[in-house]
Amino acid sequence: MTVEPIVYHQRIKLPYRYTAGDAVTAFIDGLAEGTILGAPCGRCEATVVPARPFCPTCSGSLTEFVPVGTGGEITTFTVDGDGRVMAMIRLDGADTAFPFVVDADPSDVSIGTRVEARFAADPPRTVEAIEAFVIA
Amino acid sequence: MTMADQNEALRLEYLANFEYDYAAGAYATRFMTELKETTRLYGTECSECGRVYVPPRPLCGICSARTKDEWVEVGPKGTLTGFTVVEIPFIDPMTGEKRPVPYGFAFVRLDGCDTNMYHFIDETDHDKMWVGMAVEAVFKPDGEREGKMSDIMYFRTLEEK
Repeated sequence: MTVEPIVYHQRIKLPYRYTAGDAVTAFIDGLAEGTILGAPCGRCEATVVPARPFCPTCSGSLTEFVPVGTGGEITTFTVDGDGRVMAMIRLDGADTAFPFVVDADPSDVSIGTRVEARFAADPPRTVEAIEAFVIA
Repeated sequence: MTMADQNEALRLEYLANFEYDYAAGAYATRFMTELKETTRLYGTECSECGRVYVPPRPLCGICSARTKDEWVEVGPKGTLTGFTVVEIPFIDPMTGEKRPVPYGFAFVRLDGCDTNMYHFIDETDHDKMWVGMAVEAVFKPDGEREGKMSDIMYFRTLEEK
């Protein structure tokens, strides 16, 4: 019996609720005011961005959240198949980098490029309160 | 500044929604096509140890020998080899919805094969099922089968205590 090979077009749907916790709640709400909050670690003196409840280096408890710069530099990046730039960005005053979309021509981006956050005019209460980073 | 106690706790509702293509391959394609067109179930037999696998596979899981080109028909009757009754609803990833509870869930060894498959069973009373009980596949009617395992709607029990 000769048959046409079957290819199943399938979908996985998983609804879920993300509870942000104190640190990320403060971080997201800070975005609506045009600030980006980090968490300085009293023990190892690193400032983690975005703010989070534990220091990723020494596991110290992080309870204080302070604004860092809204600009920083690209530490590494990639370009997806549609030409969009996704970069690791270390903000001024931060010791860690985090990933975000950079709205720029890929040919203008390199490691060390200075970027600045572009905030949404009507910010949602999500990380998309930052629309993108742009070249400063 | 400590902002932890100033903000209403943030909870975000998300839907992870992934679409993908799964290429069934030659063996599952033939198995599913037979299921769709004839409701016959087939297994493959190891050329060395004689174990019969359902769903069919090209190699024996025990001795790694090729299975025979000639497929063997199995089922649709079989034996209950394990069962539970699901009482706690959880998200069915195929639909994103919770499946209504309770429902019976069973391991079944189809007659003529050496492997177990899992599927629904039309019984939700633990006391009315036992390992070794005779069961039978219930298929979707002609014209409604799609070439998927859900073409078997469930297994029905064939015995009573």
